[in-house]
Amino acid sequence: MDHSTPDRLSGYRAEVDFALSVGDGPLLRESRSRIAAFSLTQAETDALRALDEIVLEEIAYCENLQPYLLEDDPQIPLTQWWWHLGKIRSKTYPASLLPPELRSVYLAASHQNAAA
Amino acid sequence: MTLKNHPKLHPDLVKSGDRLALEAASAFIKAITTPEWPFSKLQANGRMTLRTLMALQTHANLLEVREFLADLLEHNYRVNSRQWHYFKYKYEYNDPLINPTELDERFVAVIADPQAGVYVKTGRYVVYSAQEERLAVVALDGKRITVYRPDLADIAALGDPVWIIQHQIA
Repeated sequence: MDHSTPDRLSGYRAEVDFALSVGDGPLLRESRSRIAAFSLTQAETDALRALDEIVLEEIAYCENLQPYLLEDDPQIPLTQWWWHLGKIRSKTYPASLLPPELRSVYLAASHQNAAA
Repeated sequence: MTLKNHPKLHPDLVKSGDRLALEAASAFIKAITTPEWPFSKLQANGRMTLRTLMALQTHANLLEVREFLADLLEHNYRVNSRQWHYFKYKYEYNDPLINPTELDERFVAVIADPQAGVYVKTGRYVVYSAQEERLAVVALDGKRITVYRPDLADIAALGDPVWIIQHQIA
């Protein structure tokens, strides 16, 4: 996929591809929150889901995550799962609150970690 | 540009004796002068890895791509972050990078921007240059972690900078 043209997901995509990939993401959660307020096209929805799936996987498996990313914000509703990455990492996040397509990624990561 | 070529601790900072600021400035000097990037282990079957590998496979006719893919396999997906980001930028994002050293140049351009702000919310140093419209992350020991272009709409979330580069190094 060509990401050379800036779009409404560019900031989140950059956080995922060039920060989370090295255990960081100084604007990851803020960027995801901003996008959550948009009314997205179907293409954007699909692209966002693909990025969200990557985030769930990386949070589950990444070996060098910076601790601040796992500091959850109890003031923010659990439905905004990107502010509760600590619970995602520790598998204590209630899967039922995730959209179905993300739930399967989360549960698969949970099972693989448990089996490891 | 002096900050790029011969950066040194700002004399006023040295006089101040501000330990945290001095540690940060020392990290920036190392980051500017020493192109050291960490290695990380990719999830071979992870979505992020597979997406990039798919983009690379469409360019497998190119020698540098073939060599990189072979190197990934040989080292069991342990990869230098500069290499990984270079190939992502070039072949997944169609970025006109010529070689990995251009990522070094982008990184240094951010850290050596006198007006760049330093943020410490993450446990590493985050440096944002409005002039370059890029953000760089520096490890506490001065290793280069990453450089990328954030969405300008998100920059305010960094808050106020703790320091400005021109007060750190000279």
